[in-house]
Amino acid sequence: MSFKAFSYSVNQGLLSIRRNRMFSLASLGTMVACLFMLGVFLMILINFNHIVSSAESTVTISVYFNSDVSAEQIAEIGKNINAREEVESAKYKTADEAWADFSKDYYEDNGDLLASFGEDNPLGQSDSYIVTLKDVKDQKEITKYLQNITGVRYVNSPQSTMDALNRLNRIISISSLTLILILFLVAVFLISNTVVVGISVRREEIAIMRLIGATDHFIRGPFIVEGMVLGLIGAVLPLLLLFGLYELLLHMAVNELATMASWLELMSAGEIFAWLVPICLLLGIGIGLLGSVFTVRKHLQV
Amino acid sequence: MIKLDRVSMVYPGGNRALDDIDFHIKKGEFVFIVGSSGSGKTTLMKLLLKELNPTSGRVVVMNNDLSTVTHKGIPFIRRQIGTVFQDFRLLKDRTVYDNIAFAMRVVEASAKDIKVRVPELLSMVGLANKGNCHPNELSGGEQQRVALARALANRPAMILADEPTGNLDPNNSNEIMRLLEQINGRGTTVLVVTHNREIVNQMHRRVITLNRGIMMSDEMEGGYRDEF
Ligand SMILES: Nc1ncnc2c1ncn2[C@@H]1O[C@H](COP(=O)(O)OP(=O)(O)O)[C@@H](O)[C@H]1O
Ligand SMILES: [Mg+2]
Repeated sequence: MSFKAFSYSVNQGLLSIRRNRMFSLASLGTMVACLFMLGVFLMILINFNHIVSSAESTVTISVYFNSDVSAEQIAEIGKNINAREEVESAKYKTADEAWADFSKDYYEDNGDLLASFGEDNPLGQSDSYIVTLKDVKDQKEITKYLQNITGVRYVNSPQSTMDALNRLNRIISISSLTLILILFLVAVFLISNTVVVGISVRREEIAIMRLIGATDHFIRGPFIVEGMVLGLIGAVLPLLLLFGLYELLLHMAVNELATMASWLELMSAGEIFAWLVPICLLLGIGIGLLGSVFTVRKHLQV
Repeated sequence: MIKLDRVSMVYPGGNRALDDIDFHIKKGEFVFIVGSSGSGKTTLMKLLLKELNPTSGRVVVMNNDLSTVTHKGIPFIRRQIGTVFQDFRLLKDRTVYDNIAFAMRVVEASAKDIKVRVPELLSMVGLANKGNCHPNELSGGEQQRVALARALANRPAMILADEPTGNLDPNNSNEIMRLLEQINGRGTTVLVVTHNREIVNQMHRRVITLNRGIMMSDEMEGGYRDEF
């Protein structure tokens, strides 16, 4: 296609969007809603995965012992744990150290509450090993091994929490994606409708163009442009909205969440939008092309 | 320029619009195709523009056997044919100037060529000062002259006119015919479908007569015949 034909298509496509205001707005609105929801969903999903994986890699397995287990036995078990190939390290922690860490984490801002425990250690005889793994995927196996050691009272593994989170993650993903798919189809349908209206408004003009010797590309071009421009605007608008929303969220949430736990940190806007921008643009233009190309093929046959 | 070789056209449903038509029109000729309503004249035009394909026989336009022309090739055949119709077929939402310029844009003429050519065409059909009018501000005769100017915009080798005077009074009809003769005088082949007896009898041109899809006569300096 020559530059002249291209600029003609762009001009006529834009003209058609303006003439066809109501239908253009309806398809734009649906697309903005569709991509906005997709964006919100992706933001949640990406952050969720980020948090789960950083939690998985930082959270360790704690092994607690029965009170009748001797210090020698504990040392022996510790040696065995350290000898396992999957284990990065197993650090011994006395009950007093554990209490000191715990109270520092949870009662730092609440001296009165901490003071109320006095000299009692509520964790009791909780000598423990803090086991760090080389690779999170061995968590299940190691947890099982630790649970089966005689003298071990309790193994605190984040495994079950992670499993629950991952299940939740999957449910949210599937239901949101279903909803988005439906909106996607509605958006394609509405764009197609917009193009059909454009074609019927210009039926006479198209018949004359045919008679004069216009090529198919020349006749179809404006309608394809119409669909693509709607798709593009429909992608850029929700991206702007999403960006504003995310910046606001980061402002409000970062300080709050990060103090609760270091791994509970949201990804930066840059990291998130490195995903969102190409996804939304591709989908937007894709919706526009799907809606217009097939419609034009169907309704503009000679 | 145009050659029909035993052409028949049967519409779906069995309507035989053209039956075994055979003729040859040479470059630079001026030819009338006459016949009463329903005799197959418009069907013949559609075959020449490859809007329809014949049921049998061969249509050759400017050395192209139309049965071998692909869908993609059709626009390039049509660009060499200027068409004029009874109902003018102008775009009502744009000016006379833009109607003519549109035909040139479709074939991707340069803006410079358009600027030169459109005023030239307007003065040729006597509408030099009507460029900014919309079609509904013009008389029927004037609208048909705009249509003629548009048909000529891309310097076609041939003009096909299907009942160009069908909606016009005698004065305007004569004016259109005068313009067509003038165009023919410069070497363009002209094919006029009509059932206007006066015009055909005045002009002493070649006349092909159709009746119910059958070619009744083909006379070199003919007149309007309706004794069939
Ligand atoms: N699309 C069509 N489908 C079926 N029959 C048609 C169609 N177009 C024209 N006809 C028939 O073909 C015959 C010739 O029509 P047409 O070529 O329009 O005649 P003319 O232009 O001489 O008046 C008529 O009987 C008409 O009814
Ligand atoms: Mg007719």
